[in-house]
Amino acid sequence: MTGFILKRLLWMVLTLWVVFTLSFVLMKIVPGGPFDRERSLAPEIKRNIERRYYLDEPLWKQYVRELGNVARLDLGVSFRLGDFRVSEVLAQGFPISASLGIVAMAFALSLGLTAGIVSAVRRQTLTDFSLMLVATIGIALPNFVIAGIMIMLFVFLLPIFPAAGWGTLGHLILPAFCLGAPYAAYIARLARTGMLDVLSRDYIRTAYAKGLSSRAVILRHALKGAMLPVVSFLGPAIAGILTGSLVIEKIFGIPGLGIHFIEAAMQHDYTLAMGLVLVYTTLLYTMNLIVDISYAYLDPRVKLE
Amino acid sequence: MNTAAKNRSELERYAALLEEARAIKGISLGRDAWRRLRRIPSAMFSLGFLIALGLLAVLTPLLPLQAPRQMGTRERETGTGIRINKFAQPTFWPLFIEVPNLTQNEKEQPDGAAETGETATRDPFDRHFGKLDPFSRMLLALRLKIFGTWSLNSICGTDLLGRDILSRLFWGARVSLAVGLVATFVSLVIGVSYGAVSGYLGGRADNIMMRLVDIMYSIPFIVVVIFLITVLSAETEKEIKRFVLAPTTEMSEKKGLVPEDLRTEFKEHKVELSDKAAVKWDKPEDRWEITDGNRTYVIRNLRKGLTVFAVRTGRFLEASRIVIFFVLVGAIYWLTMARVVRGQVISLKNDQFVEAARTIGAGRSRIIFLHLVPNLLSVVIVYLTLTIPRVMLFEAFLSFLGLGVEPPDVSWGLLANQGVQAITAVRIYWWLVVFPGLALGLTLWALNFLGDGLRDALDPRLKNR
Repeated sequence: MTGFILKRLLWMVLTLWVVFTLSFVLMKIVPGGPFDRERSLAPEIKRNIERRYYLDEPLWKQYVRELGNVARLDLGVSFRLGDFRVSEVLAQGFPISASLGIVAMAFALSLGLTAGIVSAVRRQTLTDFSLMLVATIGIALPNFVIAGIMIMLFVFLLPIFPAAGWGTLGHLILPAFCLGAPYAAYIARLARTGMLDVLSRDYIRTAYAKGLSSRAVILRHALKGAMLPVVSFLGPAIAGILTGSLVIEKIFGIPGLGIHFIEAAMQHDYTLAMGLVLVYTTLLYTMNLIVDISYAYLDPRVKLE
Repeated sequence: MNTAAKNRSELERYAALLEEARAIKGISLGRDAWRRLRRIPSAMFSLGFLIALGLLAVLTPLLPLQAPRQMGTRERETGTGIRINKFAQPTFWPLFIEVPNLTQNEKEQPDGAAETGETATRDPFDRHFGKLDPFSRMLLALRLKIFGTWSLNSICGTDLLGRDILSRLFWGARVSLAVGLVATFVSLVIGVSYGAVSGYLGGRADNIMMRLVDIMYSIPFIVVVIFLITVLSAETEKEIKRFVLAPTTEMSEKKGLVPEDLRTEFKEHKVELSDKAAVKWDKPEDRWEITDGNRTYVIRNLRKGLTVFAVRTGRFLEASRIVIFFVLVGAIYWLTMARVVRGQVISLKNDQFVEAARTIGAGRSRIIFLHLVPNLLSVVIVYLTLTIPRVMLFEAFLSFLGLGVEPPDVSWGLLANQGVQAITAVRIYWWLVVFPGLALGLTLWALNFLGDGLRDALDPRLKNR
């Protein structure tokens, strides 16, 4: 187990290095720097700025310096947001994006699992069909369309939630729901398939035969097996929620990391963009690792190697 | 007698058996799958829907629709003049309206045309429909012969600029579907070749290739893509030449096509202007711009006289965003495909037909691409129908961020985005969100159902059942 985790962490370092190098190369070969304005700067000022950010050094020196900085977890100063260190921007935006993502994930899991289990237990009934219909709609609609419809319904038609902003619980519910909805739909379908698969197994028949109530059979015996496909979907789901939050944060005006990322990319704020890419990679990798470990825990047949 | 009857019944039994045997035919894999697919109503319905959609998208110019870029097609003469009919509610009555200016230019703005360097002779088709390929132009001409200028009323409403949503949905379908198909095809080619090669080679090469895929799985690609698209499609401005015009040159009244005296003036500084070069000004007396292809000459009135800055505006890559999108999506969505194909190839590569091919001296690439890949078709088709929706969603996502299709082109993602942008507390323009969402949703829905159905139909475990 420890060996497995260590090995994976080593791979993570390698992945981060690949991502870093890739981003670095892209940033350097593309014309147009963060300090290009409509009017060209006086050469002295330009030279000073370049010296300040070490842009006058040869490329390999810049690469080594930045790699060293990143290795020491120093992401540098944002080029565009004056007086802000990248770490400060991350510290400000991360908790917001994280809470949005966690609540969205909670929505997705609770709604998806409930819907999936209910429709598997009552298969071929009206409940099953209507739940699965809603789920397929959820998969087929992009989340900004869902968000648009939700805003029209629950903000303007029935004024229940605030339209945009951040701060109270009310600000969180609608965005988190829109962010989680497509994943709830996927999870519902996966849970249904997994549950149907498990319910036809012998050990479930045995459980019924020894006189357990159907609630006990489903929740204690069947659920764990049915969770497997859902758990293996969690990795991609987390990745999707990370990126989906770019859109949702933009629609609902939430000051999270997503907004910063788009701004940073558009304005050539390379240090901030690099910091965000690395943070996203780390997050994604860690989540995949956790998913793999929990998979082995749920299914004793899976061996971690 | 008894034996005769027995014989006859025996004969009848044999005849029946023979009949039955004759009825049984060898069924090819494809036909077998088709037979099973036909029994899945949702898949057949989806297939029909998609075929109809594809046909309609191809034949869009033939349909009696309003022009997708024509603003305020239901202009009404009011006391104050022409009013653009923006944000019109969906209207069903009358079902057909006549759009008189469909084939004419708005003649009330000759100044504007000159200012943007467009000659007054610009084709009304181009103006209202965008640049069309010859086939679409032919269809459009046919449509004008059949239906004239009669068009369907705005049964899906109109947008911010009074453009008809229904027609924009149809024209957007062409872009959205093309993006989905082409980008998926790119990813298909990369994924199948990579997976097949990796699986067939095996050993260390396979190991390295698959490790690479593992690493790429952990890269948050969407983030990288956004970065790449913004950076690659950013317009760059570069000053390439600078010279001062002779003090006798007069600029203030020049507009439209470049006059001859200015042309010779430029020629003296070794700059040849093409026939299409046009002048426009922001502020008279101070700043003029001559656009010539992708090069812009900015003329400013500085202390030393009229100074020309030759500026090239262009993109880092001289390709539209759509092309960048195709390549990038191809670069991302092949990962899963490669894994799936590799697994299949590993299970197939020791089969006898591969052995036979090797015996008669077929080379590696011949075996991989002529013998193995055709046997992967079922997996590939299923995966294809499930990738197209993901690609289309991705295009919608990028269009939402303003990084996808560029206006005035339309796609469903862009339309839905415009709808979401138009949401205000004052009035609810529901049709701007609902109809594009519905188009996108129905198509993706059908593709998902078809993919599920195909997976069931092509599953070898279900064969001959």
